[in-house]
Amino acid sequence: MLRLDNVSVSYGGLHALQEVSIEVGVGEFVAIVGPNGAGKTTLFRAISGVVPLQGGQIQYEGRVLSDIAAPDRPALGIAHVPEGRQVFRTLTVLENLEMGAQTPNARKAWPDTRKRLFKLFPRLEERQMQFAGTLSGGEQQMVAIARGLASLPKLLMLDEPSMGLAPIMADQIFEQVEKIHREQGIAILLVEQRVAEALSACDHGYVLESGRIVLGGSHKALMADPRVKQAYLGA
Amino acid sequence: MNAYVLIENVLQALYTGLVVGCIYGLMCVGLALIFSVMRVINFAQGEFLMLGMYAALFCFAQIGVGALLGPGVGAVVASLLAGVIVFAIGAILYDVLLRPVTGLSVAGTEGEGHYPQLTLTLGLSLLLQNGGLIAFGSSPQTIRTPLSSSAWELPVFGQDISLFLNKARTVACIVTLAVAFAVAIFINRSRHGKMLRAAADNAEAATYMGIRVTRAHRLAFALGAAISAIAGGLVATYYPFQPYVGLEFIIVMYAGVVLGGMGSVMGAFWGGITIGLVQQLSTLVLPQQLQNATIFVVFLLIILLRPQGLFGRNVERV
Amino acid sequence: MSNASDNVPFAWSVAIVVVAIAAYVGLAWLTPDRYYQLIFTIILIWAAVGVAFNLFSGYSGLLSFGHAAFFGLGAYTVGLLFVNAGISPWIGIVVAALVGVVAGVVIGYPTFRLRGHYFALAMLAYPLVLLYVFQWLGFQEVSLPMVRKAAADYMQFADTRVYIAFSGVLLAIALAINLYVARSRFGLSLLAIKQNEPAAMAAGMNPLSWKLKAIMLSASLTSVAGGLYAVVQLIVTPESVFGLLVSSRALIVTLFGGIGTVAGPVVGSLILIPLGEVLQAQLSDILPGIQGVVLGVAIIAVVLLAPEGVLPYVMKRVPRKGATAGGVLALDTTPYVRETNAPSVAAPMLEVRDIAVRFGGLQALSKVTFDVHPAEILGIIGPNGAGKTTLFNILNGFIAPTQGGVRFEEREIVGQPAYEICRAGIGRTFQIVRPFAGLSVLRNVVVGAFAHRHDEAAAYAEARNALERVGLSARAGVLAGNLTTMELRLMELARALAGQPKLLLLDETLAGLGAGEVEHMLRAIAAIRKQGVAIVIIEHTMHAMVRLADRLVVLDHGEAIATGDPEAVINLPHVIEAYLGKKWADHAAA
Repeated sequence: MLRLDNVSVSYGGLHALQEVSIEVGVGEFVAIVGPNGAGKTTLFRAISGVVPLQGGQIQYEGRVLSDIAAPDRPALGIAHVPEGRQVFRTLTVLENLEMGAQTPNARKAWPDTRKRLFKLFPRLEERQMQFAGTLSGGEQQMVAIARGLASLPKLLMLDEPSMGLAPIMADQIFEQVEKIHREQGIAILLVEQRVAEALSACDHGYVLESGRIVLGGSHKALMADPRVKQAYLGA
Repeated sequence: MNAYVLIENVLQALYTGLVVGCIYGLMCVGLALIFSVMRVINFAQGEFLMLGMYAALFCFAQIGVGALLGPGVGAVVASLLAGVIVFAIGAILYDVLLRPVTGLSVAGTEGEGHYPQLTLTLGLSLLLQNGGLIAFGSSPQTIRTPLSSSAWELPVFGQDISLFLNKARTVACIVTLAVAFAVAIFINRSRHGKMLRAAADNAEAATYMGIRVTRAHRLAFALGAAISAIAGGLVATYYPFQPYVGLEFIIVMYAGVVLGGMGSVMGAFWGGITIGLVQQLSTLVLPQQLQNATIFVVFLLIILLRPQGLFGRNVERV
Repeated sequence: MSNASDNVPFAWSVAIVVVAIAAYVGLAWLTPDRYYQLIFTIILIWAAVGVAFNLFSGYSGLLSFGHAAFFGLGAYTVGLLFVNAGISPWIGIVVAALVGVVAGVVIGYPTFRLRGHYFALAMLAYPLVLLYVFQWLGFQEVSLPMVRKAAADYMQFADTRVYIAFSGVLLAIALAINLYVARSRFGLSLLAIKQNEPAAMAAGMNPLSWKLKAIMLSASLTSVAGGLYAVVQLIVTPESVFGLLVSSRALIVTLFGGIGTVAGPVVGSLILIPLGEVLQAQLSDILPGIQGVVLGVAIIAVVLLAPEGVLPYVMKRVPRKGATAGGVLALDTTPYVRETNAPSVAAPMLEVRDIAVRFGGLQALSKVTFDVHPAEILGIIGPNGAGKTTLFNILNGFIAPTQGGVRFEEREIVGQPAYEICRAGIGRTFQIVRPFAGLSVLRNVVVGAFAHRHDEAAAYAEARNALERVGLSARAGVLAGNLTTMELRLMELARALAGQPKLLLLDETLAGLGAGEVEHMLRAIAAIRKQGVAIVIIEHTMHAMVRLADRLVVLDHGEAIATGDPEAVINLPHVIEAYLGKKWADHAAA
């Protein structure tokens, strides 16, 4: 469904991604782990079209994405839940979710979607008229995910959803993500620093280090591979 | 000084301050809208005001709106039409001039992107002012209606104290309130208004939602121009204008926006009202000529002492 | 007196300026028409204002939309002194210069605290306030009276061509000052502050002090120009000297010609002023205000098409000599191997004790304690958001901790401003290197030496020394804009070394470098340590850190969770947990 072939991205002399190749099949749960600075966020930004590619190609459902402008990609079914949540702080929770449902399909289905999202995240229903900037980290993460789901995506990309959250909260978020995957059959591309959680839930995964894919495989294979630790800690 | 006269003066100043303040408020809303969405300080906002005045005059006199609908309603409708005209002008100006120097790459940067925008809008201001001089000539104009020079007399306290409510200004104030209300509804309730706020809040996340930030910016710029133009058209009914008139109001607009808090659109409205009150009340104690200087001084004080204004950046609605 | 090999010597530059202006004046002298004589004079005056404006805005990066304040004050000083006190403009102009200095300080001091839009708006407001005040004071029109006897004593000459010469002199002085500043410590310091104010502070500069000096100089020159303007026009009105057009003109001719360049304002004036004035003269009945249109169109065109200005745009198309002389730096990419190091037993140079910082509701750092010994390489590592950069900002002096203390060489440094800490001997590199692309590597590096070398010759010597220490001497004359990323990193390192630090804070020096480049950099850093400099380095490239650092400190969620030998630390269960998560650590342990 999503395929990156030898994608390279540079910012001002720095090679953020170097010849990265990744595949996400329909309805699959794919995890990308790797230390800080590895280029994980850059990867998502490239898929969303916010940064240009220096080399390689991104294909989605057979189409080459570079032909499609960034604001048009959500309409294809790609939802991006950004790093650090990036909720609209000066909009209410409800308005945030509404903004997630701006693609033509999603707008028609919004009333139903809204009900479903509140069922999935009852806490958000309680706080729907609150300004998103006043919520806790965990609640903001829920808003960000719900906002992503509001566009009725086929591929949900999550960038480090556990960052900055207390472990219990992070676990809860994680469970929600797994639940969404199971119940709705949406493909998930998850970037995480918490390796075990990410790898145990995924169908297959990759390890990204210094802009390169250094390892890839099924979750069982990666969990047992000592090179994963090496990617993070150098030895 | 006779106590009655004193009270009368104060009440009159208060009334005029509120009325004029509302109109200033609408002007400020236009400027604030552009700033909050695009992070651009539009030096040419005064010229949008000016264009609104001339456009309103054109509609009123040339197109005959005034003859058709009578002076009172005609002037109001002419102002609204001026808004539409300037909206179109604003959209074109955005596409031609501003899009290259603003947008996703620049939105949100608090340091780097400024100067090209500021100098560009400064150039635009000069161009419009002097282009206006060439196109319209320098003799002052107004939309003269019988309302401009007549007033309702309102006895207060039933005694010898009367307030004179200048008709043109009062009507303008009422229309202003209606327009400001409409803008508030648009921004807070409508889908496009929410999209504007989202793009203002976080342009990158907005792009991830499929919101076209460029479109949002264009809408903000055109609408901001139109709002100030409508205010201009209304002001034209009681204040003589010429192509440089923008300069007389630009500091009012900046002061109002900064006072209201630079990120807040509706806060700017309150900022404008406050400036109007300060201006009119200052005439009680200061000579007429220092009126404008007072506003400047207030402006400088706000910037130096409390730059976040009354409502600051993270303000809620209205 | 200039040490740079990439520039024309100062004396020559001044000579060129004098000759060019003399030629201009000479040509202008031939015009019989009084109106054109006036235009020629005005061109020079506005050029001088542009140069004065450039002295401040071009170097500091703070665009002043309100230079008319200084211009008008100068004009009124000369006018009023003459009209009310009979004081000759010769003296009046000197007083105007002083008024300019005072005005510069009075306006600059409160306004420099403001950033971005607020600064621009405030500067815009000052001349307009003065405009209204002067109108109110009754100075709508101050006419300088014509003097019959001894007119020359009052700067009045029947032959108005004399004023062309005066303006020429003014412009020559302004340009000479600009040329001097451009290559002096003053100019380079301002440029450094413009490029990256925090980095400049970390390099020992006090931004406020430099900005004030710049505005005092700029304001003073502008006021003198205003005074001369009053003498030439013989009439001063608030609109003509305080108006928005005055400020705009200075700004526009400079931006059009090329801000930050010496010749830019002159080029801009030579193109735009005659164009505007002539068109105004010829066409003002059918196209009034054409001058404003010209300026408006000019600035819009420049911003859209050639943002740096006409002069730089043209210069870029001319191939520069010596740009790529010497070729790219050769790198030693063999893998770096650490020489075994006995743990340092010397007394600690830096003692960090119980540092805690709160930002709003977030505890960014708590109870962080460690030592740094002389000639030691200490690595600070930890997962994202652990507080590493915050820690550096505290060690550097950018922020103060809410609790705890830092002692450097037995002295408490918490609470001292960054430039003081730099002078005490702590240097810092920054992740995002923003060099002066149009200046040589040597010029870029010497900025770091200004912290404690007031003598320029000594500063340049130290800069060369620093370049040698990082192995970049061969590229000293190359323009920084032509360097590779690796070379830029080394240059940044040299800049920090030029300040003779005893302790160097390195901020992600290896980020984004290719494999071979990393090895070269590791060697360079180790070499610096060998010379006796202690190094504290934040890095994410773990495989490099493990080989480079003598000891590691691991931060997680603001706390120091482990300290010690690199190999040992990265195998500690709770360190593994911090990076990879609890589940992994458990799984690995099982």
